[in-house]
Amino acid sequence: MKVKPLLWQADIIGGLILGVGIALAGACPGTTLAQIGAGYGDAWFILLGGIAGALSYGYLDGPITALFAEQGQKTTFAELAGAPFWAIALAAAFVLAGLVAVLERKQPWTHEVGSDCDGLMGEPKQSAAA
Amino acid sequence: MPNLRSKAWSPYVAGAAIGLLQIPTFLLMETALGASSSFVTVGAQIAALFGASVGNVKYFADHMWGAKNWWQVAVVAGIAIGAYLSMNASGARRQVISPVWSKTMGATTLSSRAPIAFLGGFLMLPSV
Repeated sequence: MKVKPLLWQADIIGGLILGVGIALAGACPGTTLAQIGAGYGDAWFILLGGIAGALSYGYLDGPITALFAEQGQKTTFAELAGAPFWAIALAAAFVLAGLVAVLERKQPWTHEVGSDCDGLMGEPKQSAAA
Repeated sequence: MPNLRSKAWSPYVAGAAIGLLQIPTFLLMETALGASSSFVTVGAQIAALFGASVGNVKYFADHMWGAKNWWQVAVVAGIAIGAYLSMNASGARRQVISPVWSKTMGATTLSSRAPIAFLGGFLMLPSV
């Protein structure tokens, strides 16, 4: 796998746009296709929007890259820490597993999938929200 | 124990299975599992069908041809087929839009949900 350069501005701005897109779509690029297979009609529009977005970005790639004019360094956490990759990977895995264990204790996954595994947390559907 | 007739698997079992898929992916394709650049590959090919000169844009030219790009198209097609087979095996049925959208955004019909879905996809994809 190729290490890509660290581009602070592009990474942060791009990450924010990506996050907004994922929240509005309710999917990432891969799960969009899973939703289509599962039968959600709106996922076809995520797919269309995604293809349109990829095409639009492709035409703007040159100007956007020129606009930021960032020169990034190719670096990894292992290099920054001066430790072997496996040690960093194991440490990260322990920290993430611990975080997941805390979240799972707060809210078990069985309470999150919803009564019909459609994500509606199992509350009564006619909850007096309005 | 999860089986093919379950409506949902434990995310820990499913996650471990997907994680293990990284091993054959690295051995065969020398890259990590991914889906997003398939949108560029398919989009550029569709634009080319309509006569757009996408081949002149380096970003498109880099994504249009070769196993390095097309295996991802196969992966996302496999994801859709697998999801369809899994839904049939478990006997689950999905509504046209998830009930989550009526709860979070008040969208109860496909026509009210579709523009937001399109916008979400549009913002999500320039992330290759």
